[in-house]
Amino acid sequence: MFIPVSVILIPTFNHYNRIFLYLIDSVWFSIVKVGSALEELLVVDSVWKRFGDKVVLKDVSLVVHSGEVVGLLGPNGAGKTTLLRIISGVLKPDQGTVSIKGFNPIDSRARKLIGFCPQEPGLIPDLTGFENMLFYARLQGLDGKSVVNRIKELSGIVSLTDDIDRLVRKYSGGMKKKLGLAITLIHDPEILILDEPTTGMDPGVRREVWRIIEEERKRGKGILIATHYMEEADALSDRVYIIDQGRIIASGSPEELKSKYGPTAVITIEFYRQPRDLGDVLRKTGLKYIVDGDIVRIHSSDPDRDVPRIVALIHGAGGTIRSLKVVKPTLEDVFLRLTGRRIE
Amino acid sequence: MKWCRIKAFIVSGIKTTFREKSAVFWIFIWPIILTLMVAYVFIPPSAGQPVTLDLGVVNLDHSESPFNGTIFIDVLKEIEYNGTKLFNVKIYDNETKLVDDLRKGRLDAGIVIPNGFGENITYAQAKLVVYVSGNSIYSIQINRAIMSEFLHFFSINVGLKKIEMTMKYMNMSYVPANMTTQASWGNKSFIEFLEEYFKGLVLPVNSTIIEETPEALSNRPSIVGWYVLGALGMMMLYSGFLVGAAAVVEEKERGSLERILSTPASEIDMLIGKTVSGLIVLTLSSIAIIVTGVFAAGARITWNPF
Repeated sequence: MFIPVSVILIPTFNHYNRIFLYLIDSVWFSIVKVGSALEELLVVDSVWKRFGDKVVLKDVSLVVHSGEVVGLLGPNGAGKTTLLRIISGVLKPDQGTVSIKGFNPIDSRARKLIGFCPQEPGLIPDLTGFENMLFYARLQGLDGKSVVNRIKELSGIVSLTDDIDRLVRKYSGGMKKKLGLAITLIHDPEILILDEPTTGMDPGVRREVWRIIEEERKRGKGILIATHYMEEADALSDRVYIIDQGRIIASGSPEELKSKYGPTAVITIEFYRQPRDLGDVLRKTGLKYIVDGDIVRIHSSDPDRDVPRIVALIHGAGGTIRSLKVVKPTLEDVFLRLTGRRIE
Repeated sequence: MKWCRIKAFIVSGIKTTFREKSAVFWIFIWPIILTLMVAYVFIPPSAGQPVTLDLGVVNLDHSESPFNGTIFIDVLKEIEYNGTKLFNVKIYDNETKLVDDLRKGRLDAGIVIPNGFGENITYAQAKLVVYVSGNSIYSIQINRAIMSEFLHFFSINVGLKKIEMTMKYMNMSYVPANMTTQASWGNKSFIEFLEEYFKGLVLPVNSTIIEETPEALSNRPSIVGWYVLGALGMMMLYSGFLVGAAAVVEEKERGSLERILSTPASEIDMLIGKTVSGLIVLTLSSIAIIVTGVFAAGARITWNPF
């Protein structure tokens, strides 16, 4: 509404030029901001950390851009929590650097940019949910009426509005986790660092948390999630770093990792009526296959592309399919392939 | 350092303290109990009070004279020092029982009044057997001093009384002729002179003893006062533990320390905030202690900073 008015007024009132230019500028900057979605928010560069004789982190490097969810996947004791503590400025690295938009994590300017949610929610049980949020808001340097509104807004987002004035002591585990997440968001940080955000949650609440994380991502936040849940990393992350025994052993998008390290997908087909020449049809697909009576198993590296093709070939040869099942590789398989162990 | 962050620690510290139901007990009730215990249990009721001796008396006197053993016992029962009875008198049938109780520590002192005590005190020199005992060499010394001072005082008063009686019975006309103009009598009569002279025999030196009590006298209210200040010190010590060590351990356990450390709040903010909230709670406890001490236990607290 405002822009057209100012545009109309330019010829007559000269001083409106400035407002006009300001508006143009702000529009321009927001375009630039949206355009450069791959701003590097967090850069971890060859970080080492020892506790006594034990080397917990070995030459760990990672990057989190704005508007992406990065999963840090690894078994318990892989060094995930230590890495997150170093990023949050709770611990200092022995070697290497962490940069949060160019600031050292110990710098209070960096601390304002990050929201750290430790694995233990870090709540004060004798305060209400509201008071807990107010406490951490004040630690962020926020106070006054605007904070109260922000708390109300956030308690709505994590659906704790009805319980916000109850003592945290009486909260369930899932409610505590959600409140912890809301506290992490209180100062609207640009980087979210979440340590096992859904551990011990029932599936419904987990979905809810995933939805919140997804929304924050859409708002251009950079999010780093440490998890040992394969499906969580798979469902949420744009990119995944797989960490084992303090070392990053693989990275990339879940799809990339699966196609690079995972086994091929298996397409299992059962027939009502086999096509006229099954062997010929299967040879035409150009894929590895095994025939086991009425059941055929075909190995495919890209089942999304291959399934329609195979179905078309079978139909073309006059076959009728009773059932078709695709077993795709998971990140679990990737981890198994990389380390020779299961993650849990 | 920012006020907003310090305020966060102060407010949350005080709120969590009072949310805990036992807090009211530890902050108000326990200090009051402690103070009352100090005043009525740790300090025995006799502390700082004048001594009362447990005195056993065996009266073997059957004299018919105006002053006898029975009247002497009444004197023992009545005698006071600074408003407190000096003796708690217990009558015994015979000396054996008295000595037995002295040995068992049930008595501080014992007096055996022999037969003829009344007649002797009137017409001659009376005799008494006095036992002195006590729980320690120190208390035996004190008990002995008290007994001997009392008997000395009693003896002198009896002596002066006897002089008075003697003067009443003395023939007023009996004055030796060659003694009427002695210069040393001054303008007194011979009788007056004689009375003064006898008094001098009984009590050659009449000294006046004045008790001057020091400001920091260790009487009961002062002792309670010192203990009340001690209770304050104890509260400070323990709340120091609570605020300092326990609070940080607790934060560590529930993971809030990690979260706090990841915020822009500094350790100084946390230290100041927690100390101030601890001090506020401590002040409330101190008020409870002082009010109870002064108004319920009767403590006398002297403020003397120099």
